[in-house]
Amino acid sequence: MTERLTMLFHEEASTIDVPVPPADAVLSRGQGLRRKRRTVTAVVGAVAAVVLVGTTLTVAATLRGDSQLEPADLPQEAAYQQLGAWARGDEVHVGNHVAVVPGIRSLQYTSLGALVISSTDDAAAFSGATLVSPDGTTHELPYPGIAVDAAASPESSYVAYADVVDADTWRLSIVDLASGGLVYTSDPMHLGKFDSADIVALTGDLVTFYKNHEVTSMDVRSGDLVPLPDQGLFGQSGLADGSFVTSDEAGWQVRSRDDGAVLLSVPYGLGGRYDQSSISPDGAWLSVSTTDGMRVYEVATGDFVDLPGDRDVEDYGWTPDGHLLGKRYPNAASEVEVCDPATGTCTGLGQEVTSEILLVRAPGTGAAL
Amino acid sequence: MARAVTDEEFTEFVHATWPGLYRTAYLMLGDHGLAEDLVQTALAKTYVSWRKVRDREAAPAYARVVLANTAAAWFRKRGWRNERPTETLPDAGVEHDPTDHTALAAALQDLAPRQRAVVVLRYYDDLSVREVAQALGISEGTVKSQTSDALARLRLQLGDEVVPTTLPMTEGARHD
Repeated sequence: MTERLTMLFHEEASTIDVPVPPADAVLSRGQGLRRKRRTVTAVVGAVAAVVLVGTTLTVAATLRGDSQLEPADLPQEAAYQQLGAWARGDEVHVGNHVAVVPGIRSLQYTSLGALVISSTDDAAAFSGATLVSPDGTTHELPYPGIAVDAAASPESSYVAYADVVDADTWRLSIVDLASGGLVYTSDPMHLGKFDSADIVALTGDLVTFYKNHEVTSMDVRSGDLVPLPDQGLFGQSGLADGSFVTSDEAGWQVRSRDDGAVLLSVPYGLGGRYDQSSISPDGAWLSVSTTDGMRVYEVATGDFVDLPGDRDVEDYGWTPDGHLLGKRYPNAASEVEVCDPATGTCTGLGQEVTSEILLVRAPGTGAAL
Repeated sequence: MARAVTDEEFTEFVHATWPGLYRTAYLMLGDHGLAEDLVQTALAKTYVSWRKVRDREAAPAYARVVLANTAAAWFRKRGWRNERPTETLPDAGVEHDPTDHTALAAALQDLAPRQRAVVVLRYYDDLSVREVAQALGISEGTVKSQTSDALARLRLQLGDEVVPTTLPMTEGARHD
């Protein structure tokens, strides 16, 4: 059905004026990059060796920059709830602590800490999973399926993932990180011609996944399927505990998971065609981009605060307790900050970022923000 | 595991893969300078990671995934999101000849960078949902939602004849 579109792509590609390959320049860049990586690997190895002398798990206290984090007097769990988690290079910042996980690809919250999906292969998105606790300790997770596709929630120790049986069959599995036990495994589900195994989000007691081309949800307590109500013109673009986000040509809607009723409607026009939105894990807040920063709505009342000045929805995720966590652009010099969505007050964490950072994805979008 | 590549072998590899990678990069980015930089970067990373390539035949596919992964990292940087060509959605009433590939080129300019990459990888490079997800470092759900959104926007520009409304969310040129 898309043959025409594919044909147009190939016609367009055939008109592209391809320059002569600069093979020598590519080789030179590759050789330089290889030398750089060897140097970095040696330094990281030295740091790891020092850490292993003291402990096999706790790395946070020995790492550069950890002691600079403020506020340091917050209890670890409270710090995790309010400051959340973010990554820079191989560093995972969780609450007041920093841990090292090579090849970080994505972060999610669980009630026990940050779930880190990682891969050290440039061509593979996922190859391993690690839990970084609020005290900075790291724990490799022995569930291969989690590394392929998973969903977690800041309110739960559960992680849902697609346990791929073979090329044509998968099972929805849920593991409790607190006990280490498998708490749910579905019957094997067949992958149809157009299907793929994909867990979208874990929000409240609902795990949402794709099944037979459609997004659907299952109550993890009862095993009952809970279809998502009206998904709007462009489908759901965000999931929260009790609500979800849709969009159409006019704007964004926050809808009730129960009946699809619109809880909040926000028109476009605040930031142009690339308007983006992000809903907090508890569904209490919706941030949207504006021409000068972002606007954060309280879903229940429609009240909003503006966070102006070089801020963008894509550069801000959420902490477990619903604060915004992110950084202003440009990337060249920006401090990570936590913002109160109720007041619009932002507090810098004293961590200057000179390259991109990775934040916890907004539920249901799967996007690295 | 493949043996270490010699400079001569890698130079030959660059010459062989450059045209295809460049076309993908240009379709993704719409800019010759950026496309050249992206392909150079991807091939340089491929050189460094050559030992991970299982065999010589798999190397072009490996380089293509590295290219997409590198592009995804670029998209997350601030500069890519400064592009806001218009304040409104495309006008559904605009007439285009869907048989003209230039209409596609114009329509691609109206997609957000990651949406554009997703549809190029799916409908030009013939990658599956899972392959696109792994290449861009995003979930399969995001690939599907981005594909759905992108196709809805392309449909407004190119019409139902090119982008049918009955398209299954997960359909691609090559299916999963």
